[in-house]
Amino acid sequence: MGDRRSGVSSPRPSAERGATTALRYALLLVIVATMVSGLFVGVGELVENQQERAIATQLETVGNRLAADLGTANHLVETGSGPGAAPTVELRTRLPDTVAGSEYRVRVTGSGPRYTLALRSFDPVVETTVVVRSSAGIDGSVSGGRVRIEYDGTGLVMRDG
Amino acid sequence: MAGLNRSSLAHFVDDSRRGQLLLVGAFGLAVLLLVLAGVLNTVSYTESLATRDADLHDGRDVATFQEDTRRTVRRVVSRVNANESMTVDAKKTTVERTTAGWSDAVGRHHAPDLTGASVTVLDVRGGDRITQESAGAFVSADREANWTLATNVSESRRFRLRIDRSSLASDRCDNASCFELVANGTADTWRLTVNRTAVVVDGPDSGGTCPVDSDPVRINVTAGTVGGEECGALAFAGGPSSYRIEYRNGSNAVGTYRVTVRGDAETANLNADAAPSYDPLVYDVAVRVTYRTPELHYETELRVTGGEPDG
Repeated sequence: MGDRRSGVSSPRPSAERGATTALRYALLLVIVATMVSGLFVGVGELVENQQERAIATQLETVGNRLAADLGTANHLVETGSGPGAAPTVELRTRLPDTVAGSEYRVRVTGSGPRYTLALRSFDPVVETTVVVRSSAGIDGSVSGGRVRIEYDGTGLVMRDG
Repeated sequence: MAGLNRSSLAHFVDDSRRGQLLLVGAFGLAVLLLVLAGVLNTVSYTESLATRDADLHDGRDVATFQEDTRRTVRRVVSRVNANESMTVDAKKTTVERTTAGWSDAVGRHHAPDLTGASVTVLDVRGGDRITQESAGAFVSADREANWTLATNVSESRRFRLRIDRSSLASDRCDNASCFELVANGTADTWRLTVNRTAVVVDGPDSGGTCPVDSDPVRINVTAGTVGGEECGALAFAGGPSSYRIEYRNGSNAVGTYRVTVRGDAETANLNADAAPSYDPLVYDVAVRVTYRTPELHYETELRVTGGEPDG
């Protein structure tokens, strides 16, 4: 090391040796820090974008699954409705607890026969909607995990559990 | 001062520490890439979630089981109703036992799939089939032209008349000689009059005329057709809710008829064997269908009608 320093700095006066090395080092520091922070920012944004896209995709998938289960429950209500008492339909399903690491909630809006499942993640906030058609009314809201869909004699109610 | 600077610079320019920043940066990037991998994995998981096979098959299994139940019970009722030597109580008992046996067998069949499927008979209601299978005047067993076939009738089905056109009165019924079928309720009366040219309906909620243009005249009262053509005036559902079924001027109609009623056949006017005859039978059966899986609890009540031989 000493050899190299002496070899490189030999033409320069000995008083400038440290200054030059410090400048080079400072420049090196600046360049490396700039590059690293640039990479951090770039990759960070990429990760964030990917996470939002993943959440949106997964919310849509979760919504479609829930819509399919609601459709099944509605079909069973139609199958079981007749002159006798109202049918008992209780359907249990399992949705992901989180979407790409974010908790979420599903609400029902609209009115029959066209309802909208509004899915919203909390952090980051991403919203998506899925349309579901049902002759029986749909009500309730759930936040992932175990979900129960029940027919209460007038409409379908979805709740956690 | 120079010594200080030198010592500080020596600290900075120590080669062994130069890579620290790069190392930290690389570590940070590695962490970010790991997070990215995690997110991409989530997408992959989502795709597998989307393609996961649904255990409930959109409820088709339940619908199939329910339809199997309906078909089986109808077949059982049909079998017992075809056996004219059985009393109506024996027919009811046979329906209950056979359905229970079928339920046990189905339950065993579904058990390996962790599915509980069962059928329970709730109620078996009796009725009567009234027929005149060989052609003759629409008169009672005692040759009365104005007579009652059944009383306390709340429902009827497969009410079919086949009348020789030449036996009917001409196109004028002013002298009240035309054959009439009357559903006589406590408050309302539904009346069907047949002559050679038309079927005339007069009911509390409906009425009208349908032309007669074939011989024999075929009238399906409960299906609402004359000669196979739809007759809007024949809205039998618009008739009274509990009624007597009567024939008026039955001697002015020759042919065959049959009807199945939930009510009481007027046995004094009917024969047990010869025409016009009555046959007690199972009118309908109420069953509870239960279908349970780890994901689903489904229960409903079915009322299975039909079942009498359609000869």
